[in-house]
Amino acid sequence: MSFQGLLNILKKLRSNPEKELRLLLLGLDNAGKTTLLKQLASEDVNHVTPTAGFNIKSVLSNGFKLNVWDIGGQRKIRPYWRNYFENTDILIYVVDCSDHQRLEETSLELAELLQDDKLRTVPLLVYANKQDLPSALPASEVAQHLGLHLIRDRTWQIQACVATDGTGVKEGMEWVCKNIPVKK
Amino acid sequence: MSMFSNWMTLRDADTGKVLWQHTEDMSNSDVEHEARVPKRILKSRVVSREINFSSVESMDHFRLEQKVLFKGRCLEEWFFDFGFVIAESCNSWQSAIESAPESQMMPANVLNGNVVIETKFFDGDLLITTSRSMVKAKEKGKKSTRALRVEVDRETSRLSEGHRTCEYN
Repeated sequence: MSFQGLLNILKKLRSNPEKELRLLLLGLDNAGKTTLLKQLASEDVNHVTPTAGFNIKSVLSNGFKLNVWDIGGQRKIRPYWRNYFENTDILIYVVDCSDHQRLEETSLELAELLQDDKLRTVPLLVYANKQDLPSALPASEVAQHLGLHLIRDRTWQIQACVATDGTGVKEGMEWVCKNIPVKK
Repeated sequence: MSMFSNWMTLRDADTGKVLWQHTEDMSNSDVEHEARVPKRILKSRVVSREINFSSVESMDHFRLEQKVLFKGRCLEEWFFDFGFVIAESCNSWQSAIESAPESQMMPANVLNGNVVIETKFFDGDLLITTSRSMVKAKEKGKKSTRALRVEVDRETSRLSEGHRTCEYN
């Protein structure tokens, strides 16, 4: 996946009447959201620090626009997440699968997001991150913890990945391309 | 209104490599800052621009207008609505435009010194600050590309230190 990867998403969009696409990256602090965002643009992921606000990457090609929003996941910032829900086309939720202690916390945060009116019916991609760590739970087990199988009001997908080296990232973005909703 | 433009980075968007980075507050509108970039920037197919900014207060309707000007004429422009900005936050926005092939035909020596990146920051209709950077290629022989890489790397490490100061405790 490179910057070209972001452009490829745009090219697939051409068959879609929508000219602007907004992806929203959320998850607890240290889940790997910013690393994932940098990986999408093939940037160096060695100098990632906690996000105290937002990071956005925007790409424009042939009149098609893609905006990827990464919002900090620290507890103090989470109350502000809802300020960034509007017009979201796809919600991408990142989970640190090696952080067993906070599995419940991340489940609760996700459950709250799924109940929000502004994110209603928005397709959900969960990245089960840090699969390279020996203590990481497999994606299927994380899906169980998050209760993904109980979701009835939207399409969803869980994708195992390693944001630091890009493993699985492309597969997730391919799912995103196929599941862009057509806005009314 | 306390808003600071912390740094700006130009990258070759195909490789993700940093071409140029500026770490001082560039939102001082009295000065036109000079961006000394390696000549290869002018050959890059797509150059992405990243700005990092922090805000002391929260803002409800934060937006910016960025223009790439050639001799005062607009080559590229991007208006972006951020909406809400968290108080005491550090934020970044990176944009890249895959441009039409003909606009890449402009010879490097013509672009050199004539390109200005102008960024205006607003809260609603209120203009907060303007940042202007002139893009200039380094003279051949004065400093090798290798030396520049070292300089950029050092700036990157300083930059991550600086970033730490705006984290939440």
